[in-house]
Parts: sequence; C-alpha cells; structure tokens
Amino acid sequence: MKRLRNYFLWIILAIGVTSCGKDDFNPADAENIVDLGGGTWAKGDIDEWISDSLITPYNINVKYKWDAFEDLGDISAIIVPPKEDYVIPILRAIRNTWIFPYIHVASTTFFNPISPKLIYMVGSPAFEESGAIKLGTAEGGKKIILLAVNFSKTKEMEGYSAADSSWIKQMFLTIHHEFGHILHQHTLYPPDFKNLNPDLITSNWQDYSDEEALRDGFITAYSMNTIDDDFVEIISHLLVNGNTWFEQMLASIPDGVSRRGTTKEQAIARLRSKKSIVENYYRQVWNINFSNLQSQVRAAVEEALY
Amino acid sequence: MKKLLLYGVLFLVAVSSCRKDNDHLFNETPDQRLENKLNAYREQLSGAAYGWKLLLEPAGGGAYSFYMKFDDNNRVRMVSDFDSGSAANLEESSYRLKALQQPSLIFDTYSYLHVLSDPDARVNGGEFGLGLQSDFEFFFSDSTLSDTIRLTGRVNGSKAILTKATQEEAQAYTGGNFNVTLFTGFLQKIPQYFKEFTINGRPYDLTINPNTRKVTFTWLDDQGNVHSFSSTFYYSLRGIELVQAFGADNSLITGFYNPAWSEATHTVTADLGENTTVSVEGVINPVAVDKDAARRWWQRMIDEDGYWVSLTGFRVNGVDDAYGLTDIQNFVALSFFPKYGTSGGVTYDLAGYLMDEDGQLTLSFGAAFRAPTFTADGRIRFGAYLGDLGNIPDDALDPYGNTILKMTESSGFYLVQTGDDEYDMVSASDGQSWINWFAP
Repeated sequence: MKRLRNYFLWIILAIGVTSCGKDDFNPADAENIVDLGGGTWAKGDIDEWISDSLITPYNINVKYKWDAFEDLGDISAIIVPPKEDYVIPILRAIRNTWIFPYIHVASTTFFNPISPKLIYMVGSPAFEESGAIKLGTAEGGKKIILLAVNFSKTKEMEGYSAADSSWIKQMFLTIHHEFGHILHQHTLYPPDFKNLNPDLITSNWQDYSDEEALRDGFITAYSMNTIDDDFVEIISHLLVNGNTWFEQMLASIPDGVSRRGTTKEQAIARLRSKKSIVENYYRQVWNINFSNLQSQVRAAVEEALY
Repeated sequence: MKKLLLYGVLFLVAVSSCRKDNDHLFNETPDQRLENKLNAYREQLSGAAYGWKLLLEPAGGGAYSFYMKFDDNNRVRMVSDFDSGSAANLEESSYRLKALQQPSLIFDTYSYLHVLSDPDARVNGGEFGLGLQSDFEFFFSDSTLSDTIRLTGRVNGSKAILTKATQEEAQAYTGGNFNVTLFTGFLQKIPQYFKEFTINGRPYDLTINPNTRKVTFTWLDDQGNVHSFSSTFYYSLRGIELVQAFGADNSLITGFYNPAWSEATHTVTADLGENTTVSVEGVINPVAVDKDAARRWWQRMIDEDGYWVSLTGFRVNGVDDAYGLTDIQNFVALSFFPKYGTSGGVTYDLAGYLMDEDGQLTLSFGAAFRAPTFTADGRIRFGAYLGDLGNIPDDALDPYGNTILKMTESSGFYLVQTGDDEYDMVSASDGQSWINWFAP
C-alpha cells in the first residue's frame, strides 16, 4: 500500500511537470518583440555627420534630440533641446579642439578606449535654484552633458560676433575638464600635487571670486572644490586659454597677502608647480608632450572662434 | 485518508495550475495595442493633407497658436503667433511619437514651441529658470474625432488642441501671410490711450495686453455699477480670437475679425463673429476709472522707499519717446521718487534721470515737484515745478524741459494698473500722451 501511494505521487508529479512545460524559447522570436517606436527616427544630415565624424572613427555617440528619460545626474532645472543648426558646428568645434589635438599628439589607440562614449546636448543652460547657471556636467567618464548649446555660436555660424566666444569657450573648458578627470581616474597624478595646498580646498568655493582664488594659487575658484578639480582645472585652462594667457594671469596677481594668507610669490610658485606637475604627468603616464598638445588645442580654439 | 486527500489536492493543483486558456479582454498584447495606437496617431498627424492648427495654453498662462505640418519622417514645419518673425517664417524641426507612460507626441529639437518653454527669460519674457511654464512633450488625452486631437503637457500640464487646417489656411500660414499685428497694429494707430466700442447702445472699454495675452472689457450696467470681463486671446489669420467668448448684451464676442482702419475717423472696424460689426474708437475718458489707482501708485514707492522707472518717457500723439529721452548720452531710465526730499520746508517729488556713469547706475539730475493732489475722479495732479537737482547736461535740456511741461499739465493724469508692478500714466487733457512706469 505504501508503495502504491508512492507511485501515485510520482505520477502526479510527472503530470504536473510535463504538463507545465512552456514553449521552448526560440532566439529567432526576438525579432517578433514589438518595437514600441520612438527610439529611432528617419536619419537626416545631422545623424549622418555624427555617424561619419564621431561614431565610426572614435566610438562617441551624440544625442541631440530630447529624451525625457536621459539620466541628467543632479540637473533638475527646466531645460529645452538644442537648435538643429547649432549641432554640427559645435560638434565640429569640439572635435577640432579636443579629439584632433589628442590624436595628433598621441593616437586613437590612446584616445578611443578612454574617451567618454556619449555626448548629450541640451539647448539651454541649467538655471539652478541657487542662482548658479550650469553649463556642463559628466558622469563617471561615460557621458558628458553639454548645456547651453543654443548660446554657443562658432565662427562658421551666421551672425557670430566675438562676444559669442565666451559660451563656447566654456564648453571647450568643460570637455577638457571632464576628460582630465578621466585621465586621473585611470592613473592618479603624483602625491606632490595633493600636498601643494590641502588646507585651502573647500566645498564653499562659491564664496570666493576667481580673483581671490588666483591670489591663493588656484586658476579658478572652482579649482578649490577638490584636489581632483584643481588638477583638471589647470589642465583645461592651460589647454583652452594657452600659455600666454597663463603668464598674464600670473602677472595679474597683486602684491600683498590674500585673505587666507598667501603671498604673491607663494601663489605664483604654486601655480607654476601645478603646471609642471601636469606636464610631467602627461609625459610620464601618457607619453604626451603637453606643450605640444597645448599649442595644438589653442590653435584650434583660435581657428574656431577668432 | 488524510494523505489521499493531500494527493488529491496536489493533483488538482498540478492540473489546474496549467490552465492555459486565452481569456484576455483584448486579442492583442499591451505592446501590440500600444504600437497600433502610436501608428494610428502617426497616420492621423502626417495624413492631414493641409496640416494642423495647434492652440496651446501654457500652464503659466496665456494662449498661443501654431500651424504645423507633420511628415512621416519625423519632421514638422511650423509657424507660431509668438511674434511677427515666427508668424512669417516657416521653420523645420523634429518630432517623435513614443510611449512614455502613454502614447506621447514629443517635439525633440528646438522649435517655436520650445520658445515658450525656454528657461532663458530673455527669449520669452517669462521667469528665469521657468520660461512661460509651457510644454513640448504631450500625452494624447483624446482623439475620438478624426480632425481634433487633445493633448496634455507631460511636465507642466499645459493644454493643447490640434485642429485640422483647410487648404486656404495651409496656404496662408506656409506662404508667410500670417500677420499677428493685423488687429493690434490698427489699434495702435488710434492716438488715444483709452479705446472704446459700443454694442446695443452700451459703451465698452477695450484693453489689450499683448504680453500677457489678455483682453479686458469694462462697462457700466444700467445702475452704473462697474463690471469687467477678461479672457486670454491668441492670433489667427483673421485677427484675434478669445479663448473664452464674451456675451455683451445680446451679442457674443468670440474675437475681432477682418479689421479695417479708417484714416478719416481714426477708428478700427472689426467683426465680432455672429454678424456683429463694431467700430473701436479712441476716447479721452474711459467708461470706468480705477479711482484708487493714482494714489496707490504714488503711495507704493513711499511705503517701499523706492521709485518708479520708465525706459522711454512719454508717448505723445502716436510717437514713442516723443521727447527723445533715449537720445540723451548715457541715459538709462527716467525715475519717479515720491517724497524724495525736503527743501526749505517743502517736501518734494523727484523725476530723476538715471544715467550710466562709468558702469555705475547713478541718479545724476532731476526735476523737483511740490506734493501732488488727487482728484475725486481718480486723477493725480503733480505739484508745481520747484527746481532742478544736479547739473543738467546740454543734450538733456529739451527732453528734460518737455517732460516737466507734460507732467505739470493742470488736468493731471489717470493711472491704469497693467500688472502687479506696472502702471500706465495717461494724460487726462487729451488722452493722447502716456508713460509706462514699472517697479524695478
């Protein structure tokens, strides 16, 4: 009797298992998954340019069309998509002032593996509740969000005037700033840099003007945010604004002592150390001649703006 | 016995749990139905041979009209009634249909639609960071009729409605023939500030504010009580259209259509819909005056210890900045300080000239007036000219003197509040000169 019952149980189990056998999954069915649409669109000139000029050679994709679900990090302000006629001129300027110089001085085997993979373009800046105007941001080396595209004219665009150069120059600075972060996140800069001015780093950098920051040996007030930011701000400003500008900045530091007790001589020495650490870092870690890179970037910036 | 029962239950579970009846409410999966819906919308939008008219009411207020022609390659061409330029120049941008939480229409590159949403207030006169609180992503709220589609903005909840355009409309909109100043342009030719029309023997004041897109009618009932009605308006090919129709006695006003200007009488005639035609004329005294406005205007800057500002000075007989204030070198604005100071025991008001002195906004010079008086019918009469403060530059002498003469006109001025921080000050002598004051 006991045995019989066991058989019975097995039979039930067998029925249960076999009868519930679902249809086999056939990979070919994947094509039958309904495409809800909206993820693709009829390709136009802009899409073609992006594909030919950025995706194919450098594996960098660009989203210029509005996507409600794009992760914008800490940006919560109201923003609008870019104007179409701004997209290609700005991307071309970015390519010429960022990708080309790095590839000429190093190579695509250096650049392509570490470059950010997505550029998301936004038409307006982000007007934050604090009153700050955000122009760009990046996420973990993968994505760069470029804001204020509709403000950023280049020389090739109709109605360009020299006054327009400040916005697009901010954009160049943003790109080089974020790329600088990618470099040091890959291989950290030497500890010397961390020991230059650790006491002056403050998250309250917004309380200081750029002039005050300069008197303490920072190229911008934002440089004081973190040591990492100090490092990449020096990189981006040296590259985009050039060496002549850097020397002018040093010369503009007034005599006397800053609010936080830095003398003019200390500030100049500190900025020169930062520059030379950056140059050494580029040579030793990446085998890149920084001053060569600098002159190429600066030439491209002038080509795009003046 | 217990065990047998258990096996029985197990058997039932095993068998019944595998029921695979397709007893769905719909024949297709949700994804398929969503796709069908999106395709239907796409065909509806791009299938309209003459395109669509879109009326948009941003969450932030106002009403704006667009003409849109969708093709089936994600491209849309449009004009909008935002300004004369956007009305005349057809521009192309991109759109997409996508399932967000429900079928949605997304305008995904910058267009005239985004002008209203732009957080840069310089673009649309809205608020920095907010714009006019409009939308460029919309849910389809209703599309039961083939030639009407209702939309709701995803972020701010703006309301929009698409209506199929006719062939004639399509030609006019795409041919650069959309004139947004058709009616308001004529209206501005009327030299008087106050405009009035009469229906069934009753006069109505007509006030149109193109910035807020608001039209206001003010009238007196048979007992002499003041009434007013306001509606947002937008521009169409035939004039302006009220979002809410106005019942004026026995006539329904839905807009002002097919306007015409008469040079002889300086009046604008327009159809109101329903075969009613009116003639709008300029008047010196309006039907009803906000009798407290003058005192309110004057008192406010005493309470706030501030001043009023005008960027252009007086408009006189149809000429903006008739006295040429803006031609004065380094001129920024004319200001008015009630109770600015005291001289020889006399407390005086000051019409001060704000100048750009080496990048510093400076009160350089001004004219002092004795204390004003307020009349029972709501006018302010500025006191006598008391003297000058500071040194008046040579190129400012005429503008300065003419402004003093205008301000000291004995009949005084009506004040009309046009916004929270804004007033128009209208000469009561002929109603043909006025100045706009705002709180800086």
